[in-house]
Amino acid sequence: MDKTESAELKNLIQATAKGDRVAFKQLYERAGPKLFAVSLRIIRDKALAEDILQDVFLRIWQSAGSFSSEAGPPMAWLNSIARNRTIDVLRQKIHVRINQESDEPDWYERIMDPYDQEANLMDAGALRHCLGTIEEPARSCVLLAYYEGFSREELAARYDKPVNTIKTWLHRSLTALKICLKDQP
Amino acid sequence: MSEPGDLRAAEYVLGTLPLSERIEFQALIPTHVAIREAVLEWETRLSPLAGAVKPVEPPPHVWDNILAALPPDAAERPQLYAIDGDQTNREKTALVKSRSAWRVATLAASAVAGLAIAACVALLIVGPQLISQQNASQGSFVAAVNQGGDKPALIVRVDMASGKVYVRPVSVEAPPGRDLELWFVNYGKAPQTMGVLGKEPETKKIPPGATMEKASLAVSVEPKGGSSTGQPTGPVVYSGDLVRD
Repeated sequence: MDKTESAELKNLIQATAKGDRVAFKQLYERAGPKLFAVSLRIIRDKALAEDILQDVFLRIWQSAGSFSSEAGPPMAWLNSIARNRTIDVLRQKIHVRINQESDEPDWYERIMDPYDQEANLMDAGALRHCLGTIEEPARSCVLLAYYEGFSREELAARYDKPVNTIKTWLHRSLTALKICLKDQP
Repeated sequence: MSEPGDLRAAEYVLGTLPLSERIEFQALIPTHVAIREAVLEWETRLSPLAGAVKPVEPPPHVWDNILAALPPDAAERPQLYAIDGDQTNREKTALVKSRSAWRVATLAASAVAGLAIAACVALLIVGPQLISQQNASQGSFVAAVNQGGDKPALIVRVDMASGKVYVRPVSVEAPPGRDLELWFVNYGKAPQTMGVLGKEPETKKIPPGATMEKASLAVSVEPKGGSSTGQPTGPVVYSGDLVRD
């Protein structure tokens, strides 16, 4: 996300907070496809992802006034609403994750060579670097949880390890990420 | 933020907290600044990952549904007028302009699909000083909310000096077989009923223990005779914050 795009999203959110429907629609057009994709990837049910997206944008409409640009980039705020909502729904439904490895991209590769490279260059570099310092399969655990919504149990099954081991891997990875990111410019 | 606390925030953002822990943690976010900050930091740290997800165009009906669920547009939003107590001289003047000491709370019809009740609620808070001024000068004032030129549906005036709530239904209509119930909502507390809305004007009392700070009024759709549980059971069709100078 480059600075201009970020500033534009910020303006759209702030206008939405004032009830500007034109801005809200632009916000939907700009961020909707990304948030839909993030949600769809995790929930893996198109109709459900559509319902979630609808709910997410109504939440954005209602809470746009609480967005503070000092608190973080606008895309992080939008993305969190979508991911949180999706994971809430995912965790509450009885979910059987069938083996889906075949259509799972190599997320680490993809981060190194992201889809929206231009937009992503600005702030993903440090994160990519720091993820690179985490050993496999702990790194994949973090990425599968983030992109595919894997729970600790699902990761335990995937890697044939006790749930506690997964928890330890996740904690170690997240701590390492935090420390590494702190040292990045 | 302690390390275990920070890791819980990290796992919450990542999505790997087990459901019960997730719900428990989520409940803490609104009231704990340190937790909220830790969550925000993790969201900011991890969100660049989303750059690797290829956008997918959602089908057009999603936007249509979002639009349909929004509260009425500003253009369609009720116009507020003060109508002088003298009904023969209904000169409409913008309420906010002419009676600056009065405040009209914004109204938000909640997004309730399938419930098309042509009702509006005007909520007025009249401060004690204003009451005496009014009493000294002339008769009463009512405020009406008109929607698209229709008659106002409901007029609510809260008189903080006497603790009375004047409710005057004008063209309010409940769905067939249902009643509309008025609720006083103290911030952070359970709503207190003010009774079912009838067809005739009536005076209700502000519920005991009610405080005006951050309070609001709400109207819900209930079974005939009102909610039997003491709490709103049906959808809240209108609500408005009480605002004071």
